[in-house]
Amino acid sequence: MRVLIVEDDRHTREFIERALRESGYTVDAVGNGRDGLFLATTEAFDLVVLDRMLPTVDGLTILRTLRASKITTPVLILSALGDVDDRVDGLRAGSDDYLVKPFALAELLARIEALLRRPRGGDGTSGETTQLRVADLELDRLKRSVRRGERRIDLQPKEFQLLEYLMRHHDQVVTRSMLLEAVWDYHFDPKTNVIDVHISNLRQKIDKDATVALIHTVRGVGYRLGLEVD
Amino acid sequence: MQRRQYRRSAFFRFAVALPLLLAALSGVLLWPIYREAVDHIREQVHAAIERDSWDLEVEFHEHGIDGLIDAIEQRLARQLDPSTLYLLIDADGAILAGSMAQWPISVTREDRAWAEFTADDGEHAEGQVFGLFGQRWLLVGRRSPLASFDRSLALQLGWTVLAMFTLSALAATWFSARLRRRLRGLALDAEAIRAGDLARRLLISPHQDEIDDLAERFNRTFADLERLVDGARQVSNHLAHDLRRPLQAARQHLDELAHRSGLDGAARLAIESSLSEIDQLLGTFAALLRLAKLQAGGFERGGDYCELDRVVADAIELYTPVAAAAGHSLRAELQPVRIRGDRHLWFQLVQNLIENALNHGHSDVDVRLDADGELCVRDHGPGVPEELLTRLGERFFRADPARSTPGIGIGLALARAIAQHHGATLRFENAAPGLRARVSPGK
Repeated sequence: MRVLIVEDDRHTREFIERALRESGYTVDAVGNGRDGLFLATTEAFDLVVLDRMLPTVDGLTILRTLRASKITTPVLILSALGDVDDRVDGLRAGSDDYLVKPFALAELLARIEALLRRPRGGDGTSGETTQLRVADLELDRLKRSVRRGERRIDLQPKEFQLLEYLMRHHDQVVTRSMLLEAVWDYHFDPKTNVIDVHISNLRQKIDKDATVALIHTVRGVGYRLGLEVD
Repeated sequence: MQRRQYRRSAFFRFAVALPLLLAALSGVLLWPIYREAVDHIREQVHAAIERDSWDLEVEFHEHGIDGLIDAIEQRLARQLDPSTLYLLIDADGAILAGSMAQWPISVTREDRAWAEFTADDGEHAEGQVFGLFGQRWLLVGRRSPLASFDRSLALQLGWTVLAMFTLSALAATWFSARLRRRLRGLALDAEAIRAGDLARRLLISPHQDEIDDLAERFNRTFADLERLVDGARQVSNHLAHDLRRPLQAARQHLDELAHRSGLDGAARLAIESSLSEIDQLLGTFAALLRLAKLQAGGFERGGDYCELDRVVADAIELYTPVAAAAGHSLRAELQPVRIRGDRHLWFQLVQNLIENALNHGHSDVDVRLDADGELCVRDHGPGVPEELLTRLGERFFRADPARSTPGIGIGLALARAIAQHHGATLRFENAAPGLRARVSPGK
């Protein structure tokens, strides 16, 4: 997997570069917008990590140029601007995800992984499959029903959405803020452990009485739904 | 306005005192003139009487009592002066000559005495009495214009004073009403500035008078004040902004360290707890910057509408499990309300109020949204001392002196800023038991 990093701050650039290399990605890193635009349009990448504020050519301009040239490489925008409007601007310009600095490495890696594993050509949520299945856990989007083996499980609407997101990203690390953005559709940062409480309720219902737990906590990062143990 | 307030008003006192003073002053000034005029008239009358009586006295000395009677009758017959009055009586009171029907009762028979009396036709008159040889008495009198003069002068004086009183009362009322209106405008401006509209200034009228001069001085003071407050805000904003970079760098280093394999459990734990502390700090800075941006009007006040009841319901859905985990319930009573504003900001406001209620109230929380858009979040905890209520929502203010509860006093400040951003007001009141936060929409 080949990733392009366009980031003018040297520390941040090197920080991301090292982390991605260690995680097994091939990395190209440039420090200004012109070089970034040139590389992104001439070579094939699986993902672009794009800083929003760049010298020479601004991040959103690069993004719009890429999309206008029909290059659909997933783009994750990094930005020091964290407000709703900024985020909406970024997503509207065609970015696939938006991460506000400062961010945790684990958050970045989880989001990159989610973008790379996404089925290409779609936006990830318009998945045609109405049935999701992980081990003996089944979720039917149309019937709004969840089963674990033979057992029917009643879920609150938000729990259902949480579970759906986790199952779509099964065997991936999903962070709390990814869950918040996906399920609540509000941009805010909760001070208390709201998501943990919701997940713990969900876990109660899913993993209760089951021999194998499916929802795992990834310490300091978030959650993962899947069979194998970390 | 209530009566007491009226009495306390300087303008009212002015409007009453000025005409009274003017009336008193005109009285004091006109009185001596009046007295002088009266004395002058009396002197004239007396002089005329003395001239008359002198002539009669000469006649009496030269021709005796008959000559005197002749002289009186001749004078009366000639009608030289219709204002003169004569009366001559003998010792029995019988009339010997004269134009009067009888001796006036008020006139004592005493030689050379001055007397005032009423003539037969009712007019005021003055006269002098002469005792003549043989117990005869002569009264030489004259109709006096004094009484009618007195009446008309008093009337004129009265009118003058009344007119002065009325005119000055009108002028004072008009003037003080004008002044009061201007001062009220200034007071409203000042009140708006006190309420936080620091950019507002007192209105300067085109007159460029003393009040304008004063208002300009105040405006300069307000400008200084605004600069100072801005400065204080800027300092904390710059702090938040500038400290972010080194913190971010430190966070990156620690983050990398944590990802390196081969760390023992204790080291990893230490790094993770440092990371979460840094994250908290960064979160605080982010909130501060957001607050600053809100207060500086950095967010556009879009014309978008959002379903406030939906937003509140979402927030309640988010926090219901949190409340339940702490053993409390989160009850809601919501009417459908459409409101202008940013749903993300409204969500943040509701979320901050609910978090505050849960964290500080440690009790069940009621959320109510009325059809008129008023939103109340009420806990059943210990509440807040009455004198601290207005300080809730100040930046960095915390009602809990021991600071044992989580938070640094940003959440409610943000909530208030968001409310103000949308033209609403956030107030707090004790609900006994508990604290009630009330968000009232603007008009």
